Amino acid sequence: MFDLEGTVQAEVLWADRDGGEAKFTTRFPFSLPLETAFSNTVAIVGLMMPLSDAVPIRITLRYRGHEDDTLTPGLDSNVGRYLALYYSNDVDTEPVFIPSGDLSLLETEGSFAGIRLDMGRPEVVALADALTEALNGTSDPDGGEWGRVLVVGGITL
Amino acid sequence: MAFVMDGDWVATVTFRDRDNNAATFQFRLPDTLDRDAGLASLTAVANAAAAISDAAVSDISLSQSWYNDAYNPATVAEASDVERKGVFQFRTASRAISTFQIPSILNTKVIDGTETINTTDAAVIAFQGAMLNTLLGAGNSPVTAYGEDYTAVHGAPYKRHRGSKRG
Repeated sequence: MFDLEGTVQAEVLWADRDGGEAKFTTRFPFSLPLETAFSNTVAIVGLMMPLSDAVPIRITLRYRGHEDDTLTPGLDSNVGRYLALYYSNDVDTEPVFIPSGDLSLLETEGSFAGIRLDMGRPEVVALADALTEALNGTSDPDGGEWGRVLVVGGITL
Repeated sequence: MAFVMDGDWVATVTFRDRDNNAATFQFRLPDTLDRDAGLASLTAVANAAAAISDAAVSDISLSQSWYNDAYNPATVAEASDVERKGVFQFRTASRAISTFQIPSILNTKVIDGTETINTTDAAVIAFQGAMLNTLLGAGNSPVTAYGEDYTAVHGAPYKRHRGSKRG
């Protein structure tokens, strides 16, 4: 389970003439709706602008949570190793990389043994379902919505 | 100038391995989801992802961004420099102190012969009022990571130079 922070982090990125960037970060109560937290941030930015000759270029509101149990990573865990899952909507494919994939989920027979994800494993099916639901309705770079299905996965570095 | 929403929520899950190295897995969620639905969806995916990894999921985050639609690098003031900071400090009733830095503070807001920012300047007063629980109204002003309101200015604000991303 995740403990959500009781605040939303508001980050404002500023740019100068030379392309230098710096971030101003503050927080608002979690209880504020997104729209209110955004308008309050804009209000703060509006009051900062007369004090600065840089330009605010981006506002990001970030909600964060932390695992509340102390979990022990596996002995062989290594976040430099990934499981790559490829989602497709028949037009385009998007990779999703899961750090330190569990090697016991790879196929154990055939020419792809130890390389390709065993798509029949319940853990893989559960993630595929959760991701497919999450990714449905997200936008492609042109703003169009697409649905995706998990087509293949495997180990990568 | 207006801030325009980027679109989808960006969801991030952070994993840590046995050596405490961290790596993230990121995906997008539809902007049609409200915050709570987005957090629920992120949590579901994070838990499912944790089940196929032997690293431990330590953190999650869900963010939404807006960009300045009028930004043109060529029109930013020539004298601007984000490494020139205006440093302001505020404290809470429990005397927790937070520091905020305004990038590229105008030199005209600094008292000549010092590095001290002029606290009688109307724009400085307005900014400090917004950070305290006065200008934006109770419950709307910034808070600490523990959700405490800022109740007072702490010390005199000043100018200093400090490195930033891409200087």
